[in-house]
Amino acid sequence: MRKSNIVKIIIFVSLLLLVNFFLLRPGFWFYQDAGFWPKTNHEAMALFLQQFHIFTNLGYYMGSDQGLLSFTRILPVGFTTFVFYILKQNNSQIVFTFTGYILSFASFYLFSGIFFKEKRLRYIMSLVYVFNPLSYTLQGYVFYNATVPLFIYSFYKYFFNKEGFRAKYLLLNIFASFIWVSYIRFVQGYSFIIFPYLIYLTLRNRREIRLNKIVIFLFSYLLIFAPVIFAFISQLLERSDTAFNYGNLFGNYIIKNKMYDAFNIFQSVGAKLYEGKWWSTLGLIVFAYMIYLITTFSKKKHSVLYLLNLSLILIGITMYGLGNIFGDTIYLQVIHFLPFIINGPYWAMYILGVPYVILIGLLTKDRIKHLYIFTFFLIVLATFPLLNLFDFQLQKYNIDSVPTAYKTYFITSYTSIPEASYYFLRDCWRAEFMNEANVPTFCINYGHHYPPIIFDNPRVVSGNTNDISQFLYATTHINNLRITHNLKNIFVPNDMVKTKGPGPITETKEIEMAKNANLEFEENKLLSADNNQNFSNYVFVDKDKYDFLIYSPKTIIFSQDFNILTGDTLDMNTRPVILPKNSLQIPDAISNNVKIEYKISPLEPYKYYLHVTNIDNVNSFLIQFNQKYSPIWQMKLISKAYYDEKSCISDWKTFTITNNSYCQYQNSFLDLGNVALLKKRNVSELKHFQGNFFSNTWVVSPQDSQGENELYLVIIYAKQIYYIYTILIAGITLMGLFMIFIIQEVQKKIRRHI
Amino acid sequence: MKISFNRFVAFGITPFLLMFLWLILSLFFASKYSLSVISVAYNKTSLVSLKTDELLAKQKVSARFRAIANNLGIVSVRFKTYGRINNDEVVFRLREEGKKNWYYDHTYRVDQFQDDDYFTFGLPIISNSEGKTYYFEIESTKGKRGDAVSISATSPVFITQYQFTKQKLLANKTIIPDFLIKKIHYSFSDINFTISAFIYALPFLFYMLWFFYFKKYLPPIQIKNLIVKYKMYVSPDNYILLYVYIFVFILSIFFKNKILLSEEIILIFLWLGLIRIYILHSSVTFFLALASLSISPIFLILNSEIIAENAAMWAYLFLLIGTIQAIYGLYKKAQPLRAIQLLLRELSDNRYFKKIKKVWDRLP
Repeated sequence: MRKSNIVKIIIFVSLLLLVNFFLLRPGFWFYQDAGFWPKTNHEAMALFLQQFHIFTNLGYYMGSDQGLLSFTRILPVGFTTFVFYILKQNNSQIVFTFTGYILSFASFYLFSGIFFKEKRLRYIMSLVYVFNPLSYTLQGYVFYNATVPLFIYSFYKYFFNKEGFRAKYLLLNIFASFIWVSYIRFVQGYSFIIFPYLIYLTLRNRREIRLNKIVIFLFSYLLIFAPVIFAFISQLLERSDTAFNYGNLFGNYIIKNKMYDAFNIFQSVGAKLYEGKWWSTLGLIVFAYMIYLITTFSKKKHSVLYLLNLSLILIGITMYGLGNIFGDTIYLQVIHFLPFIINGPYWAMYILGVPYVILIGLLTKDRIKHLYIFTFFLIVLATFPLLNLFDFQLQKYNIDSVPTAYKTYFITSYTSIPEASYYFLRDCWRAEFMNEANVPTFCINYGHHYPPIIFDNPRVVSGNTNDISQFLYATTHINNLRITHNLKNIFVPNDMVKTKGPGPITETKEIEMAKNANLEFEENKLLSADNNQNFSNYVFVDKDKYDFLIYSPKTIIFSQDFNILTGDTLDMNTRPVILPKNSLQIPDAISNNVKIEYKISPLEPYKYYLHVTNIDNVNSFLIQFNQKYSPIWQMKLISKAYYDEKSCISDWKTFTITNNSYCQYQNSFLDLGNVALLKKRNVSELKHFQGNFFSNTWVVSPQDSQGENELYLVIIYAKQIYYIYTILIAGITLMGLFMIFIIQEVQKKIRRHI
Repeated sequence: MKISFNRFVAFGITPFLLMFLWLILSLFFASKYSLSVISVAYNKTSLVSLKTDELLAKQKVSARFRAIANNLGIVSVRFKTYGRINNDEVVFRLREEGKKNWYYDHTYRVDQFQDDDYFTFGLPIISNSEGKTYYFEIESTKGKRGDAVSISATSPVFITQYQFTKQKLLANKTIIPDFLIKKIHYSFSDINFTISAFIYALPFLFYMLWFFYFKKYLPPIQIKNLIVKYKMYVSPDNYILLYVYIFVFILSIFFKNKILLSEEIILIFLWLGLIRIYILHSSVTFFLALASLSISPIFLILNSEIIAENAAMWAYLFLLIGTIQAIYGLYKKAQPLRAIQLLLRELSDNRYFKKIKKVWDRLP
């Protein structure tokens, strides 16, 4: 390419980026889903480590089995953590976003080279792709756009290059796959584009296929994605009720989208940039223009690529308008299998980027002025955020503008043991200062100090955890939750204002409810108040005397009625546990003086080390672990030496009411010591059942203690042990491939010099 | 005057059979309700209190109607959900006018309502409803802005249904004529029924037109030839079938309330037939898609959402047919089955498979 052309392209791209300078302003976006951006180094690290845990409670007091969500986000989260550590809040998000734009551009440029020779055409098409309307609605997470072109390009180069096995293409393909799986909603959607393309390319180049490449490819994938495969398969084998939460959830209702919006290429989702009748009209006109080009193209010989992309666009439109095209019955049948492509009006549209641009490229290949028209349309669109500087969704949020009370409580780094908290009307509300700053509703995520006990996201949790969370909504009768939920703090908003823009709905009724709740909590003699103009923080006056996370119950209360939770009947001093009447294996008499010391790390929520003393060797005793029940939690007998290996980094904190104490241990990045737990003896699984409605109860019998009056135990989410293995396998395979890649590249360079 | 058998067939039996066909097809296929149900559609004027924006807590809409038959069992009301899942609950109440007590009073969650579609409020069947005036109201219990439904302004706004059972009709045969007359009469109050019924009436209308006007130019023997030798329509200046099709297609865009792929299957097959008769290129089908899609934004601007929606649906259908047509055009010469055979042979000839086969053969 001539130098003058390169300069023109650079100027053009710079101008495009300049008009999008809203990306470069200081501050960062707090829009709803993207509010997961870390605020402190500790949060960034917690986010990263979450990928190495199969059970997590990040942001909540209760936790859940992440299943398919484990390890899938390792790449973007790893990169987020990296840029956050280097560039901190304001700049990290900008760099993250720009990297996404650059990656998408480069990926599409490489991909288009499979079909188009002319570089000018490829550059323009890549621009069209990067600045397609959906890039804006991805709200900074533009790198998802790189998935399809990068995967197909690397697949093509890996299998059909004539140089034999090249590790770099396989690594590139694995990289694309990690982006692909990093957002669960795109896993299904993108496969609708990727697999037809792979079939097309394989048929076109079938003579180039080599069996050794297939074997290496499959084997590498099996090993590198072992953590993901394990997490998913294990949930299926367990018949976990959470494995298909999305399908079950979305299968309960029908979303019917307007068919005319299916043709609106200015689809607007999260950011709501292109909303309204006039945008729909413009989007329809642009699509009609594309059909005009199709009608003239079809006079020529049909190319398979042209029909492939046209068919893919039709699939996207069909999915978008499924309810309208086929009616309710078929919609409901399909959504169970494809919840991520037809849930909501827009996910199907996201997959259309590649076929749209390739089709536009094919239709305008010999009529370049039409390509310019398309590019012009999209540049006009790219300038729109500039013209609409005050757009609510795109306002950046400067953390300095957050009131001090919020900062102190929720943003300041906190690395100790979290305190279970109850947020009246949920942990997210629209506060007055958000109106003043003209920013979207900021939801407090990752409350490391005050995680909420309410966990009612039906996409992630189901069963009693979800039902109880729903049951406890807006209650002011919280005294018994000290025992069942280890509750210590209550927060009630004082600065709640009516909803503006997206986010939780807070209206007059909710504001009134919060006022009344304040009055009720103030009258509660068990609480002391620490109020500020933003929220009231009520603390149980004796919160330092009890810890009901892991304790040995003294009394058993039989009940199956949730109402007991909001009653006032439980006496904390009796250390009760609520069990269903038909609980198996409940001994007639239980030892009531057992003391528990345990070691805990907030960054390893899947493992707890216990030292149990005062065992009387005649009666059994109970251990209550107030964390989401699962048969996967196992209690293993360990040695004193194993227990002592974990040294405390904090002082021991003793709780007189619950007769227990804890200290915090230093977490490790990848605790290989877990593997040794495989050989340790379990406390019988038959003696593990659900207590306090949603959490774990164990009966430890004299046989388990074998005459000893003290025991060393570990409570572990057993799948984590195997999960560590799979991560190791993935890591070693990846390292091996990297080494082959480096050797191949060095060899190539040497050959060139020779 | 002696009437010949041919004249009897031409004047009597054929028109009667075509009319019968029209009625039967209309009653069975044009109406979405069961044959034993009489449904009556009402527009906005029947509403006592009209409110077409969001129905907020404690707000209500009410309507009055006169029952045209006994066995009133259903009132269906068309709601707007604004394309979202709302959490409100509405109370539906119905009573006979002049009476104090509600005959029926029930609360419904609105998360099951469909956008711009009817929600069916079923009530215990009122066996002696004929001639009586009923009043019903729908009240929101906790609707709030952004989380509430509203009554759709699209006509018909609500539909009442009178449920007769087959056993009841057969047991009391004297009510059958009255039932049928009412059924046909009131079915035409639904514009969807009228349009669909019109399509089914086309054979009868064409026959009558031919019989009284074109017969002298087009005797029966020629008709037979026209049907058998359908390819004569392909002549450059004879596009009558195409014109008729486009007329019906325009009619359905402008007058139908909702277009579904499953319901338009006949029209799709007719278009496939026309493609074969006129040997139409896929670009013609794409052109119809373009034409339909061009209509859509115009009517969207004019606030005629239903026409815009119908046009977009036809754009989709023609785009689908055009793509299939183009794919067929591409592959019909390639003989896909033969291609698959060749592909399999190629794969089995692959040297790696040969090696594997060799090793396999050597196994003890």
